[in-house]
Amino acid sequence: MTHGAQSRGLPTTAEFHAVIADRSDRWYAACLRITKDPDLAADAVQDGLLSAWRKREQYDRDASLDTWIHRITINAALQLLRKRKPERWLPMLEEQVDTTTLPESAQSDRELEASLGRALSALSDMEQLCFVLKHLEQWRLAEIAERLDVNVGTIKQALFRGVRKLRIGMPDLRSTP
Amino acid sequence: MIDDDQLLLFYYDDGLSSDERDAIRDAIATDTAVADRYRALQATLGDVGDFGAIRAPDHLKYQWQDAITQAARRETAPTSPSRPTFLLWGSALAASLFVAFAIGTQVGSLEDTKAPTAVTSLPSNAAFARGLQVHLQQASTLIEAPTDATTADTAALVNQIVAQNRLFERAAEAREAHDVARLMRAIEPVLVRLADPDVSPVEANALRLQVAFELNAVLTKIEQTASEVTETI
Repeated sequence: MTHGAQSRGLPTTAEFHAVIADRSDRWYAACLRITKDPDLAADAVQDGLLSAWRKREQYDRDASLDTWIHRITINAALQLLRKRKPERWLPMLEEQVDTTTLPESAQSDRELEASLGRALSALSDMEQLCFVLKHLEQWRLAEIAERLDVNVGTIKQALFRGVRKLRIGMPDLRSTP
Repeated sequence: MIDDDQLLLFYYDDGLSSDERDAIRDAIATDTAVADRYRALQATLGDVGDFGAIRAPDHLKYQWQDAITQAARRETAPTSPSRPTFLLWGSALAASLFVAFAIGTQVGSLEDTKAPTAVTSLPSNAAFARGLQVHLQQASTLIEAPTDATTADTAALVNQIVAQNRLFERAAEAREAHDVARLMRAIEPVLVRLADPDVSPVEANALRLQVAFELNAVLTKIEQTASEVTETI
């Protein structure tokens, strides 16, 4: 299969292995920022990879395999978050910000806070998600709205609020060694 | 008056009409105050562009690579027309599993109505738990048992167990038993490695022990939880 795939220009297992070795840190980091749960992030990467493998006929050789898989893993992370964490997903979309930390996510939240920075942790879940997808993942606003199943105006408002909070927090962030 | 929200959309080059973009571009070029606000915005967003490195654990990378290897292998796995005697174990496993599951569904549906469990990490459906127990017990026995089966037989058996694992994984997900689903997924790479024709006898034995350990760990957890639920009831 690997040989056949190569002859048709499909990405091979060796190419998948190489890109996993080189780039999966980025996919995992992106999924972790979205899910805020290490297990969910790991599952999202695996789901994304297997999905990419299954539909590798759709892969365009002119594009980067890393970028293509990255995108698929982000989608997998959003799907898993919606499916497995409805208690976070639904209020997030309704902008009912719950600041209570769930016991099971307390540890991962602490780890995230250290790695993502204090500025981002000041944002609500929805604001964080919109900021991550827009600023770090560089999705279009319309794509984010479609994926989250809300209107573009909602995404814009979450982004505006998130960036305002970030800017308020920035002087403090800059003073942090 | 151009506000910071509009400047933000301009920065991202998204969400503005071409007229709005032109107006903002002109304002930045001609109005010092707007230009200063835009530079400040750029500086802020530039500062939050990198949150530091997050690394995926190495074991996950191995697991992901293995998942791809096995996905590729499954696509090319020949379907043998003959069914060696050894595989009857696999068929028996599948059949008994189906029966256990079917019976369990009937009984479980009754039990579930009178005894909803508060345990969130394990299946809420008693039938599912019993079916999973049967599967894990039989899979452990088959994996641990010394055999003179050929490599192809072993691979076929492992593939059957893997296929059933996936059924249970999906069922676990449907019941929001995510930790069980995760364990089922974690076992898979070890199982498929066991089916690898290149695996040495020494490694095969080590893998058998590992799989048996993992399966028993899940089994023990299920039994413990079932016991806790019973005591609660």
